[in-house]
Amino acid sequence: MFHLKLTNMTNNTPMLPDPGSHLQRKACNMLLVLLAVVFTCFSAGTNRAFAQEQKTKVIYFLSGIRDHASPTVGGRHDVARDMLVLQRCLDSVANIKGVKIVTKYLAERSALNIEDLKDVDAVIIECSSVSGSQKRTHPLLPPLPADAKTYDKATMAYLDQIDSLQAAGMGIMILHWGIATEKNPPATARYMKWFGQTSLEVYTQNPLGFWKVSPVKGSENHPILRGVNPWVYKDEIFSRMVGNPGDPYRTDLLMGESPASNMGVIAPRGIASAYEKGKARGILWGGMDFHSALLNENYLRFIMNEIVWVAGIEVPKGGVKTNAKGLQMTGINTSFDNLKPADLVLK
Amino acid sequence: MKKIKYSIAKAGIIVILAFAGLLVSQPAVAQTPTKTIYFLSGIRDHASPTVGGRHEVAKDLLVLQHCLDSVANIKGVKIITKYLAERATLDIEDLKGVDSVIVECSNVTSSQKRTHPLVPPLPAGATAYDKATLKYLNQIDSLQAAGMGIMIIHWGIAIENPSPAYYPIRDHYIKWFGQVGYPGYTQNPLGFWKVTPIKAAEKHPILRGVNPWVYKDEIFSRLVIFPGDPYRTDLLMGESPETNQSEIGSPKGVISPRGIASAYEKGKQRGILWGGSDFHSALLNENYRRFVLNEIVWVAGIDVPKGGVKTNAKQLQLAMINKTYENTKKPEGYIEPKLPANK
Repeated sequence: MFHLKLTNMTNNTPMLPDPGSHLQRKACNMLLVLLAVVFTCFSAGTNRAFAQEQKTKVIYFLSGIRDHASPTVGGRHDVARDMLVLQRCLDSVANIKGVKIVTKYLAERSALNIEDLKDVDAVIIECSSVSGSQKRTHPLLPPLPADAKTYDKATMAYLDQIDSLQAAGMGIMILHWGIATEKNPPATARYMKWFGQTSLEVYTQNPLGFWKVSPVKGSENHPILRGVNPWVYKDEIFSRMVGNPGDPYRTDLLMGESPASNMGVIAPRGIASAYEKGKARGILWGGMDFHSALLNENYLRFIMNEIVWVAGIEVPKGGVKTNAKGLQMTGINTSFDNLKPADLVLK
Repeated sequence: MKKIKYSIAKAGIIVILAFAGLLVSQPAVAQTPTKTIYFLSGIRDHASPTVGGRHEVAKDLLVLQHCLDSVANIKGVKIITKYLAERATLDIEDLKGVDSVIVECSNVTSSQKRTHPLVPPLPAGATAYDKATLKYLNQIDSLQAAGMGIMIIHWGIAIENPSPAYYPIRDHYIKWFGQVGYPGYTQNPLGFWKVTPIKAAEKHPILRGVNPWVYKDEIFSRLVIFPGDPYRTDLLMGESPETNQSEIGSPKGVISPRGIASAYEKGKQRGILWGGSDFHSALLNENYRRFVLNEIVWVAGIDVPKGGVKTNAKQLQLAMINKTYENTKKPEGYIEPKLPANK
């Protein structure tokens, strides 16, 4: 605080200002300050600087074909609708300032070049396993030709280019069954590079049931966990992924357990990690079977935080909040509800 | 009279003290715990039969056994060691009462012969293990759960055949060690390695007295683990400026820092996979040898002494120093291994 002390220079006694003139001076000063603020705000230079300083982040939402769910009953493996709701949430984000977020949704990408991915800050993908079909299910990876043990040179070169994009800052996030790469060794090797983890054939599981999910102690300071509290919900979570021991780039984020799943009791296991190596960021998230999971506030915040983080955007304090209203684009699927133990409280 | 009385009393006290001494010494003997450690080598099927110093599965274990038999700083535990070559049984009778098995061998899927002292290969033409073998593997689970530590060294850590027929072995490895080799992903780069203890694990008993070291080895690494596994502690990082293998994203031959050693502990169960120990001469490196001896002691449930295991063993080599692969880049700090002076 700066205090102006008025004194009489000759006898050093305080001068009492005239009340009327003091008020006039104060009003005059306020007017000058207001003019200066208005002038600054509307000047061309400031506008230009502001526009230059505001970063733009481009996030692509890519869904594969919906080949692994009932064509008539919705609410599961809703790869497109899940992506569209998440896109809507991000378009209506409430608490991210200083960044202009541009989103785009693309269905069934099948390119084998990176032209459409240049200048993209993150790709968020929900799809079936790359090995799930001889059709192209995966927006980034083609299926391995029948009886082939690896991709041809052109495909390997394309994957090298994706490596380069990620190393330069294009985050990659893959949801649900797309995290699996069974019977596809080159895809497995890329996943290890992009995400620091991958699936292990027949060992990685997808238990479907009611899950208790808790943030991992020791990772509380990771941006993705901002505003994320434990939650209980129904999901099929691809889990028992494998990673590298001693990997300094992977942070384990969530533990999950299920008192009752279609694979029995699931003891606590790591179910989510974040991978960051230089500018490269990657996430595999094995949940997101039921569209209705997005109605769970903590789950939704966790996913939104992941998307924002993988795009290189600062996750706001308290986690991402959205003003989006339409969080469901299909009916709530109530299958497997009978697995819920009577004493389990959803939260 | 007085003198006689005094002598009788004195004699009585002496007798009582002697008797008490006997009573005290008996429980002391009974209380000294015994730990039995078996060293099991497989067949040496993956090395030159004429040139020694590599894949010396028997000689490596015999040196380690000798080191443990001559241990200098473990008190209050009687350690009994036994060496067995080419164990081929499919029952656990010989393993009952054993506190740990230390195994060095070839990969279980590498041959139709039995290479692995614990695990048999799949019989020719079979598409799955038979019930008896699966039962035997479950019995090993039980032994480990009850406290029989298992440590496997070098190529034996890998299950390289990707056939689903080998998934039962893979899944037992996961159970025993919390990690496993991944066919097509796990590597075995050979070169000069710089090995560094992981800071966050510095309080783990296995790292007592273990400082960074540089040496020549082929280390089976890029094993896979389970994110968030609370039972595994990652112990060592390793890197190499030049090896005979490459990894995506690094210049040819360069191995960037990767986790190369972990310890697994779940209840009474302890397990270790150690992918190094190709060159017999590695045992001449003090930090390397201490690390491996600490592992052996820890996996047997013995407290690793402060400063790590020290041994008075003199004969640390049973084969020549193998000089192959000497022409690759050596990280700073490399010291040529030398035989200890005969005293």
